[in-house]
Amino acid sequence: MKKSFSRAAHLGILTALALVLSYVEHLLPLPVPVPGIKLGLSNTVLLYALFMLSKKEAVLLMLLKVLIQGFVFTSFSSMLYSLSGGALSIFAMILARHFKGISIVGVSISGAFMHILGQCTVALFFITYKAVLSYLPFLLISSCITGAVTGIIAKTVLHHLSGRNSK
Amino acid sequence: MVKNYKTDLLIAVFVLFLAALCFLIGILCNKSNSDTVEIYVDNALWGTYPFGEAQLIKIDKAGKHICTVCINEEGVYMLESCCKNQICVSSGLLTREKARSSDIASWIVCLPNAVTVHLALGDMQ
Repeated sequence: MKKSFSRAAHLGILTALALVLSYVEHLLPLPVPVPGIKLGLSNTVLLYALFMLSKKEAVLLMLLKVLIQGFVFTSFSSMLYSLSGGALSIFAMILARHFKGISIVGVSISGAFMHILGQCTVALFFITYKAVLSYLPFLLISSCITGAVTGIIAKTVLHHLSGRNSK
Repeated sequence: MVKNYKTDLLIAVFVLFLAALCFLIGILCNKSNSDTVEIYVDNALWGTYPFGEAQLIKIDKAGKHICTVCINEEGVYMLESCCKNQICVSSGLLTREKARSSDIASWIVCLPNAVTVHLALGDMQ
């Protein structure tokens, strides 16, 4: 019983952290010529949940983040984009984690790549495919870079936390 | 450890290869005969307007005004939009020079309202 309360509290803190990181990112846009590109800092929290907690909790964290973010900060359509991207991203990261040759940076790049792919697939239903095709190359290149950056951040955080836990 | 980075690098190369492929397909798909401003709403062509002729295009969806596109002598821009993120408005003025520089620079996209504005240059052929 006590353990489940502790897990719920842990999940609550991680959700809050993911939301705060998303909000901070929204306030500080990246100085890139392509609009809408984000670093995806909240993905580090998702990676932490995936590597330190469990698959189930990582999926729950993604759903909570998307829903709360959708209701508080964005609109229903934005929530749809986040949900499709988030669902594909977490699925890819869970799958990539099982491959022994892939490090946390590779897992993060896979997640970022699938996030873009999920969002662009939903975008195809609403906007012309020509616009999606124009944006896709730049979004894919950015997913490579942002995925690597968030992966390195998550790796550093996990390294320090595992060192602290073992003390 | 080295093995880990090799696989990570392979994933990154695969993503970059896909990006290059999409870039080529995008160039082949976005061709037109004259300088026009194309506005798409909900994945359908809303209207085509001559570039350079000053006009305000008010876009409504389901009886509700969602955004206004402005065309002037210099270019085209999203004057105002009801979306929360305002990325389309902050995209700024879309000029011939910008559109010529890269394919992505010839678009203004408002994802929440499903509105896209495209400056199609005839001399791009």
